[in-house]
Amino acid sequence: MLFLKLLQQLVKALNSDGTPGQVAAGVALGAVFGLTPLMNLHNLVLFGCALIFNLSLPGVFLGWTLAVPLGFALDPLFDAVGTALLQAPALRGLWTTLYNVPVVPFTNFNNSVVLGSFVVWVVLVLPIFFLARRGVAKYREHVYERLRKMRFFQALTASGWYSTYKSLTGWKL
Amino acid sequence: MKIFRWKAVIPLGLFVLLVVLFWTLYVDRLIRLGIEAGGTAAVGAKVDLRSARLHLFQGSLVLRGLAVTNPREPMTNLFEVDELNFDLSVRALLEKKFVAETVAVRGLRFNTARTTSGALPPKKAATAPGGGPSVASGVDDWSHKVKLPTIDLGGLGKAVNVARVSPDSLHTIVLARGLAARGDSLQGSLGRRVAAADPRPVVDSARALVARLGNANLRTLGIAGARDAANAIRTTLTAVKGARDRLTSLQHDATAQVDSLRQQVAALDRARADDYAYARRMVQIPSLDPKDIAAALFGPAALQRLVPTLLWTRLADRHLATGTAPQQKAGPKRARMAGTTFAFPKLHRWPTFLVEFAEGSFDLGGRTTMAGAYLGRLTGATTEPAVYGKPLTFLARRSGAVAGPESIAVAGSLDHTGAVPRDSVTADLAGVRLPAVDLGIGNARMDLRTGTVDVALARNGDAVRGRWLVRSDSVGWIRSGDTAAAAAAPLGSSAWLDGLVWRAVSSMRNVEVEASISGSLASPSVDVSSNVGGQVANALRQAISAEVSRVEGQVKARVDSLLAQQVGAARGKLAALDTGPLKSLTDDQGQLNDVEAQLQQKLRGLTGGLPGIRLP
Repeated sequence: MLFLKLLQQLVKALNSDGTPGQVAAGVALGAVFGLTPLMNLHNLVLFGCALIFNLSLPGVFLGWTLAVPLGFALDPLFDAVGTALLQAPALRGLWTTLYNVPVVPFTNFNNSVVLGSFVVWVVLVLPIFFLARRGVAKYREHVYERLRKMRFFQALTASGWYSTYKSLTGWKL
Repeated sequence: MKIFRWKAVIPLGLFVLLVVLFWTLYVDRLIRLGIEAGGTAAVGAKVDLRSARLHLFQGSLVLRGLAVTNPREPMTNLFEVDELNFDLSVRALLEKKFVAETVAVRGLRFNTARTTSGALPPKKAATAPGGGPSVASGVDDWSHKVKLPTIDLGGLGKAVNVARVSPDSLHTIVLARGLAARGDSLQGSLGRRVAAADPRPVVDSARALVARLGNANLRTLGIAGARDAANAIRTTLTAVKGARDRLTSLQHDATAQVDSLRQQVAALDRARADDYAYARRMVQIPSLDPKDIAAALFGPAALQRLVPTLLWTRLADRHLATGTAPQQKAGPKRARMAGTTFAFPKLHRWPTFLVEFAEGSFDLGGRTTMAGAYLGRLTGATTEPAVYGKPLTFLARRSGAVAGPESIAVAGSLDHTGAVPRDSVTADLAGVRLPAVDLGIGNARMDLRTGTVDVALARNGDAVRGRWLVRSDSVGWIRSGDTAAAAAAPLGSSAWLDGLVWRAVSSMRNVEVEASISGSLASPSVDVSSNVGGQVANALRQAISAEVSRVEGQVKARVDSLLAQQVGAARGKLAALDTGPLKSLTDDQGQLNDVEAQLQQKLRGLTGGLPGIRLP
C-alpha cells in the first residue's frame, strides 16, 4: 500500500506541470514533514509556505512520503545531533533566549529529536533540491520522451478518460 | 513565473480556520487530559478532572472536580477540589509557561472516599517519572527497614542457650582480626623503615672521631690541625643532625600510625558493648531501657505519622528543580522517538509553572482532631524556585472546628532557591481532642482525651530533623479482654506481661509521647520516647531484674570468651609496636643526642671554650 502510494506520488510529481525547479523545491520542502516530528509549530509554518509559494504540491507530498521512513530510521542520529547542540556550552545563551521568548517554545526546538532532525533537514535541503531538480530534468528529457513514443501511452493519453482526469486534477501523463 | 500561488490563500485561510475551530472545540479537553496525565505521572496514582474551561483572551482557567488519589490508599483521595479559578498570564502562556497570578480555591476537602480505585496498573506504578523508583515505595521501604524493638519476655525463667551466639556474628571479632592484621603490617613496614634509617654508621663514625681527637686542643694541633679537626667535627655534626631529622620525621609518622591503631583498639570496647546488645537479642533478654520500651509501645503509631511528612518532603524534592542549570526530561510520547526535552530557565523570567498566590477555604471531614473548616494561603508554588527567587510558603488556620477549640495552625516554607534546599513545617494543635492509641500489650488502650500536638520538621540539604510530640494530662485507660488470667500466669508469659503493664500504666494521667527523626533524608533514624516507657521499664525492672541479671551475666561471659583470643591478639600487636619499632626509634634518638653532645664539647675544646671564636 505504501509502495503504491509512493509510486503514485512519484508519477504525479514527475509529470506535473511544474518546472523541475518547482518540483525539486517541493521535494526539498516536503522532506521536512517526514524528517521532523510532524506536530510542531515549524511544520505548520512550512506547510503554509508550501501552499503560498508557487512550488509543486505533488513534489511536496513526494518529498514527505519519501522522508517518513527515513525520519523513523534516523531518529537515533537526530537525537544525538540535537542533544549535542542543546548541551553545547557555546549555544546555551541562544537556547536560553529562544526558550524565553514568546511563541518559539511551541516549535519544541528544545527537544533533541525535533532540533536534530530540523538541523539535518536544513543541512540537506540544498543537496536535496539540486539532486531532485537534476533527476526530474533527466527524467523528462529521457524517460518521459521514450514513454511518450510508446503506443500504449499514446492510446492512453488519447482516451476520453485521460482528458477528464487531467481537467479535474491538472495531472498529465 | 509567479512566486506566490495566490489561489492558495483561500485554502490556507480555510486551513487556519480549521485549526482555530479544532482549538475552540478541543482545547478544554486537551487541557483536561494533560492535567490528568501530568498529575498522574507526578503523584503516582490517578488524577481525575471533571472539566476544564480556558478563556484565553480573559486569561482565566477554571478547573472543576479535581480529585487526586492517595497513592498509598487507592480508594481515598489525597484531596478533592470543587473549583479552582486561575487568573493566568497570557504572555507567559505564549512562552509555553503556566503562570497563575492568583488562584481561588473553593471546596477543598482532604481524605475523601473514591468510588473507584485510583491505583495505576502495576507496570505504570512500578516506576515514577524519570524512571526511578516511586517516592511512595521508597518511603515504604524505609519504614519497613526501621527496626522497632519489641517486648518479648519469652526467654525468662528458661535455660538460656548461649550457644546461639555465634562468633561469626560478633562485630568485635571482625574488628579485632582487622586490627591484628593491621598491627602486623605496620610492624613489618615500620621495622623496614627503622632499619633503613639506622643511625649506627653515623654514630660509630662520630664516636671514632671523638676517640681520635682525645684531649687534643689548639695548642697540641696547631692552627692548621685545629682547623681541619673543627671542619671534621662540623661535617660529622651535620651528618648527625641529618640522621636525627630523618629519625624525628619517622618517629612522628610511626607515632601517628600507632596512635591511630591504639584508638581503634580502644574502640573495641564500644564494639563489645554492641555485641553484648546483639547477644542479648539473640537469647531474647528483654531490654529494660525506657526508650526501647517506649519505641515498642508507640513506635508503629509514631512511624505512621512520620511517614507522610517524609513522603511530601521527598515529593517536593523530586519535583522542584534546584539552580538555574538546564534541566532534562524524557520527551513526549509519540510514534517517533521521544528524545530528551531540555528546559532553559532564566533568572528574572517566568518559571515553567508558577502559582504566585492562592487562597481558599477547605474542610477536613469526619469528627477527628483535625476536622473542621480552614482558611489556607499559599505563595510562590513553582517548579523552578531558583528562577522565581522566592520560597514557597503556606499557612492554614482553622476557622471553625467540628471538635475542640479553634487553635490549629499549620505553616511551612520550602526554600529551594539556593543550592541547598531548606524546608520547614510546623503544626501546633492545642486543646484538641486526641485519638485513643492501642498499646499493643496489656490489652490496654490509652485514651489521650484532650491535649496538645506539636509537629515540626526542618530539612537542610540532605539532613532532616523532625519531631511529633503529643501531651495530655487527662489520659484515661481502657482494658479489654481477659484480665483474670494475669494473676496466676507464669513469669515472662504474655498474660503475666499484660498484667504488669496494666498495673504500671493504669494510674497514669499525664502522658507525653515524642517521636523524632534525624539524619539523612534518604534514611533517617527514628527515636521514640515517652514517660509511659519509663513507667513500664521501672515495673519490669522491679519484677525481673534478678532474672535479667543472671541471664545477662551468662551472655556476657559467652561473648567475652568468644572475643578473648582475637581482642588479646590485637592488643598484643599494639604492645609489640610500642616495645619494637617505637622503642628502637627512641633509643636511636638517644644515641644521636649523646654523640652530638660529645662532638659539640670537642668543638668547644678546640676553640678554647670561648664563644664567638671561629677557626679559619
